[in-house]
Amino acid sequence: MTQELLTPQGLGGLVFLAIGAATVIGALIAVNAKSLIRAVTGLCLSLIGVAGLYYFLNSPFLALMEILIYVGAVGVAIAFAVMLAEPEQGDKPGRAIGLGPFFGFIGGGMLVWGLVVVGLKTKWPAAAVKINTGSMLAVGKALLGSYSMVFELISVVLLMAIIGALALGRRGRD
Amino acid sequence: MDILNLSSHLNTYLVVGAFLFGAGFYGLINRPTLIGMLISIELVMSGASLNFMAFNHFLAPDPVMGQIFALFIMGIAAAEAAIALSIIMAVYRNYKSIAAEDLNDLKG
Amino acid sequence: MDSELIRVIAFLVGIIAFAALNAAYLVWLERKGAAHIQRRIGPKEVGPFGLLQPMVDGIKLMTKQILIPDGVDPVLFRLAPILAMVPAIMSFVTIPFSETLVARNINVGLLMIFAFASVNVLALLLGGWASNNKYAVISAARAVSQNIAYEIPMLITVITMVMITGTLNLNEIVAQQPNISQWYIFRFSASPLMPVAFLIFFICSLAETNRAPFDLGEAESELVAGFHTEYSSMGFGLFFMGEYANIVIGCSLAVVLFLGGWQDPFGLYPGVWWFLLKLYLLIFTVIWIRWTFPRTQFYGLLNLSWKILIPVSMFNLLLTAGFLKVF
Repeated sequence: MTQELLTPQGLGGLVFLAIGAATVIGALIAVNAKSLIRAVTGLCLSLIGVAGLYYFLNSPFLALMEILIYVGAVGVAIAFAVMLAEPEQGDKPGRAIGLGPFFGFIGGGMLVWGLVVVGLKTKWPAAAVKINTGSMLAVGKALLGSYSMVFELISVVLLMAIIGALALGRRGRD
Repeated sequence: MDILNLSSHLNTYLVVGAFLFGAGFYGLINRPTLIGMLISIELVMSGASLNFMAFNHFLAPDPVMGQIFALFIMGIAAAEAAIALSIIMAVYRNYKSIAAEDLNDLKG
Repeated sequence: MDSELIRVIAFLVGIIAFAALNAAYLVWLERKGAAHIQRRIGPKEVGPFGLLQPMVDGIKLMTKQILIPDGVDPVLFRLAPILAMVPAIMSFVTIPFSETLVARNINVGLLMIFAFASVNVLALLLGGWASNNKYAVISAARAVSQNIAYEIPMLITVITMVMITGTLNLNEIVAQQPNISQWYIFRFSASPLMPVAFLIFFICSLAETNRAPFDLGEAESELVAGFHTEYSSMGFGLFFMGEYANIVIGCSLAVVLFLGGWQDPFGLYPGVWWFLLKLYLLIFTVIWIRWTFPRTQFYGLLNLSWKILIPVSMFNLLLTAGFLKVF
C-alpha cells in the first residue's frame, strides 16, 4: 500500500481526496456558519476545491479561470458587501429552532439522494471518438468560431450587469 | 473500491456535484439574510457547472462544449452576484437590515 | 524513489529558499537605498555594510510574542497571513529562471500567476476584517478597491501581450525574444506603444503589491499600519514576506514579458545571470520609486486607474490588434 502511494498516481489520488474533502467541507461551512464572513470563506474554499476538480477533469484553463473569477472577484465582492452591510454578526436572537432547518435538511437530503441514485444507476453511453483535444487552443477557436454567439451573449449580459450595478449604486447619491 | 483512483470515475464527480447542489438548497432555505441566500445560490451553480464538466470529460464527443458552457455559467454567476449585491446595498440603505423577514412593506 | 519526485522536492526547497532570502535581503536593499536617497547611511553596524542586519531582524521577529487581541475572529485572523503568503510562493513555480531552470513549465503559466494574485485580494480583506479594529477595516476596504481597480489595466495589457506572443507558456514567451531588438518592449512592429504598455504594466504591478506611492493600504502616517495593525511577530512577518514575494513575482513577470527573460541582449551567453540582473534592476527601480514620489490622495489613485490607465490600455489593445492584422 505504501509502495503504490509513493508513485505519482498514488500521490495524485491523495491530492484528489484532499481537494474533494476541501470542496465538501467548504460547502458545509458556507451553509452552516454563524457569521457571514466565515460563510464567505467557506464558499471560497469550496470554489478552490471545485477548481482543483476541474484540473483533474483535464482543463487547467477552466480551473484557473474559476479561481480568477469566482474567488478573486465574486468572493471579494460578497465579502465587501458583508463588511458594508452587516456590522453585527450572528443570527438574530430569539429565532426559535423551528421546523425550517429540519425541512431544509430533509429536502436537501432527498435532492442529493435522488440525484446520486439517478447518476449512479444510469448506464451512460460513452462517446466513441473525441472530435478535438479540448485544449485551450480548441476552446479559443470554438469561442470565436462556431460558438461565437455565446461569446457575444455573455458580453451583452456582463455589460447590462455593469450598467445595472452603476444605476443602482447612483441612487444613493441624490 | 480503490480509493486512490477515484478521479478517473464519473460517479465521483456526480456525487460531489449533487452534494454541492443539496448543500446550496439547504442554505437557501435556512439562511435568514439575503447575502446568505446569495452564497447558497453560488453553491448551487457550482454544483451544476461541475456536473457539466464531468460529463464533458467522460462522455462528450466534443470536449470544448462543456468548457464553454462552464465559462458561460461563470460569467452569468459573476453578473448575477454583481447585480444582487447592488440590490442588497440599496435595500440596506432603505431598511437598515438584510434579513429577509424585515422586508415586509408589501405584506398584508 | 522517483527522480521526478526528487526534482519536485528540490525545486520546492529552492523556491522557498529563494523567496525567503529575497524577503530578507530586499529589506536590506530597501533600507540602504532609502538611506542613500535621504543622504544618510543606513544599517552599518551589524556585519560589513550591515549585511547581517536582516538575519538579526529575523531573529528578533521570530522571538516576539504572538499577540492575539480580544474579539478577533480566531480562525480568520490566523488564516489571512497564510492566504497572503501561499499564492505568492506558488506563483514561483512557473517563472523561467533560465531555459531549464523552471519548476514546472505549465502551459497556462501566465494565467496561473494572475489567478493567484487575485486570491491575495481576499487575504487582505479577511486580514482587515478579522482584526476587529476600525482602522484595519477602512484600510482593507481601500486596499481592496485599489487592487481591483488596478487589476483591470494589468489584465488588458497582458491580453495585448498574449495576442502578440500567441502562447501563455512563459518559457516560450522568453524563447521568442532572442536579442535586444526582439525584446517585446522594443517590438514596434507589433505596436508603436510598446514602452507605454510596459509602463502601464509596471505601474499596475506596483499598485497590485500595495507598494508606494500606492501604499494607502498601509499608510504609515494615517492609519497606524493599515490592515496589518493587529498582527505581531510571525503574522506580520508572513504579510511582509508575501509583499516582497509579490514584488519579485511582478518584476519577474515584467522581465519575462517585456525584457527578454533569461536571454542575452546580443544572443551569445543566455543564462540565469541575465534574468537575475534584469530582475534586480527592476526591483531597485521599485525601491527607488518608493522613496522618491509622495503619496497621492485616494481619489487621485483611483482616478489614475479608471480615467487614465484603462482608456490608454484599451486603446493600445485595439491598436495592437490593428497592427497585427495589417502587418
